[in-house]
Amino acid sequence: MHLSSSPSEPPPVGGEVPSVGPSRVVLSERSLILLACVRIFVGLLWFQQLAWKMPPTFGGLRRYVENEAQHTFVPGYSSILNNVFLAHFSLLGAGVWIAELLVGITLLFGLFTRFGAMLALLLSVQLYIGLAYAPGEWYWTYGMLTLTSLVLVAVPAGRRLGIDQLLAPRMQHAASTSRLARLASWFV
Amino acid sequence: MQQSVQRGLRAGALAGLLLVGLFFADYGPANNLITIARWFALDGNTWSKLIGAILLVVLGAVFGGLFGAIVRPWSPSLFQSVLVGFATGLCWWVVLVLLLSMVVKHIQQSPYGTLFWLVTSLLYGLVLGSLYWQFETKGGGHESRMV
Repeated sequence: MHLSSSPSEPPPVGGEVPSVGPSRVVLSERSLILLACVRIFVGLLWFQQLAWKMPPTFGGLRRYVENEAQHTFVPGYSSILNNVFLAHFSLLGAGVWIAELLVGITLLFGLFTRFGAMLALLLSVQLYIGLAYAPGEWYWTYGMLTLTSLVLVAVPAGRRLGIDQLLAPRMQHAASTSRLARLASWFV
Repeated sequence: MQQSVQRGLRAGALAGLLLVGLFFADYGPANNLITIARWFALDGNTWSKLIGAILLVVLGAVFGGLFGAIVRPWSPSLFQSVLVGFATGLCWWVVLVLLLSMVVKHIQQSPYGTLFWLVTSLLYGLVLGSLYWQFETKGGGHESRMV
């Protein structure tokens, strides 16, 4: 997917629009800004969740992981949570905290937004697997979280009101000569 | 001079408005808006949240106007605009959060609170710089294409 704010391309020679392939989707500047605002609010959502799991104790995180271990709908996931994650809780806590900080920062600042969104997708799917069918939870909470992350993976939302707006043209330019830049350009 | 300051005022007010939305979305709701009112000793009444929201937009516009005055001598590229925006966000954090809130009003911050105010201040700067550049170069009227 490519996003550009350049003026319209010149019309095809002969005035005919090629009929092969899907039609282009055009978003107005206002729609892109709105999309950027959605990205920022989703970033805030993740950033705020750092508050109740601050290091070094990672506060309420243990209760949630224990809840996941009890109510996951995936067979065998419970024993992974109990024997691996809860057994090494400090490591898990640090990992989750750093991952959520990364998601929050990348989405709030629009810095490698798609990378942050992919990380958010991973965390959301994990939460869905563990908590969607726990008592008192509405399964769509984590479903919506997953879908929102998926949207931000699909659409480059950091190219307005974000640092990706600076990075994208540079990455795309470098992508023609460097494989690493080609890979990195997909994350902006 | 006047045009760049006006652009800065507009971009700053909009960035402040975005912060109002972000500060509304908490467990209060909008307890963070009361904190803004507290910086100016305008809290403690039923209008605290509204006062905090208005203050944010006004402060956003003021800092945006200063931003516009600073970048006036040269027509900034996006990189320059964002860089000066971040510097403005950092000034916002130093003046409002460090000096006014913590030093003058003695409002204690938790580690998360410190991180939160720093990140939102820098976000204000980023949005300010980005919007200013957009107002200057495109007038916000061009269509963008997603292929």
